[in-house]
Amino acid sequence: MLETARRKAASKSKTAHSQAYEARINALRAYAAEDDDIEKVNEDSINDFWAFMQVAGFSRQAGLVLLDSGDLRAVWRENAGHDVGLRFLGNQEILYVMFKRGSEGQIAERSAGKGSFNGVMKQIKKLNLLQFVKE
Amino acid sequence: MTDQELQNADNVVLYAKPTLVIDAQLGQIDGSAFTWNGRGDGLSVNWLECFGNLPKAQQLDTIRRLIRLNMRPSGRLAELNVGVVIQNIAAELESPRFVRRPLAETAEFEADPSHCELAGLPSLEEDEVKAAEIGEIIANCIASVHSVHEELQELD
Repeated sequence: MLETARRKAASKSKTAHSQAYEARINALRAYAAEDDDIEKVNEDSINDFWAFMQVAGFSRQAGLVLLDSGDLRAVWRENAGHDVGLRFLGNQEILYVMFKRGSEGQIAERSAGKGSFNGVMKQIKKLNLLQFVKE
Repeated sequence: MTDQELQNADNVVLYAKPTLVIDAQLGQIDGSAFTWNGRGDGLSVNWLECFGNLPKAQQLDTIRRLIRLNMRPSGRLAELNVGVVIQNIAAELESPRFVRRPLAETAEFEADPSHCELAGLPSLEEDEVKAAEIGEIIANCIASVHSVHEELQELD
């Protein structure tokens, strides 16, 4: 049932920047087709990305990359600024890496690990990075 | 034989394939490009100053010619300073170092004396969270990003 709900959410998902995301995912699929290191794209990962974006409501556009494992990773990064990277592993699990910069550009706080959608949102809030991904 | 290590003032480039380039124009490469998959002894890079005191454009052109990867036009070469990378990851790892691993000539390839490895990283298999964290730190150390073909305009 969860799977059905997630696929439904993924197919109906309209997030900020959804057209740009769709175009980028299509481009990544094309690159992957020519890349011997990528056996197959993890469709579960892509569905989780759409589902997460719908729930999270981030308005800052993420950069998207595709790992050799076939997982999609979304990255919000400012040059010499904050950094949030979320790798969608499937089964609603995310491997996250977050850096919060101090006023002089140094990495003031860091967090990395694996978590659920809710767990990742809690980490983002804990590091006070919600405004960064929503602005 | 003792490994020959690169010095802090040295610079290297790493090929990031198109799937790992976030934004070529902004020079943003994903941290995943700097994670070690467990092949060899470390992350493959090429040492710019290997070819002597040449202008950087010529150093890059030589590496583009020698690198043993099928580089795609949408891929990028990320330039890193050895000292900056080591300084930023030293607190996380026991003994990170850039070591020379020159490649001998084969029937298919010219010898590549510039080939090096960043050793001392956790592999993705050992600890994928730590590997991702270190990769992100290295991605934040990128000094500049270059195109993979010399005929294309340099980006920096």
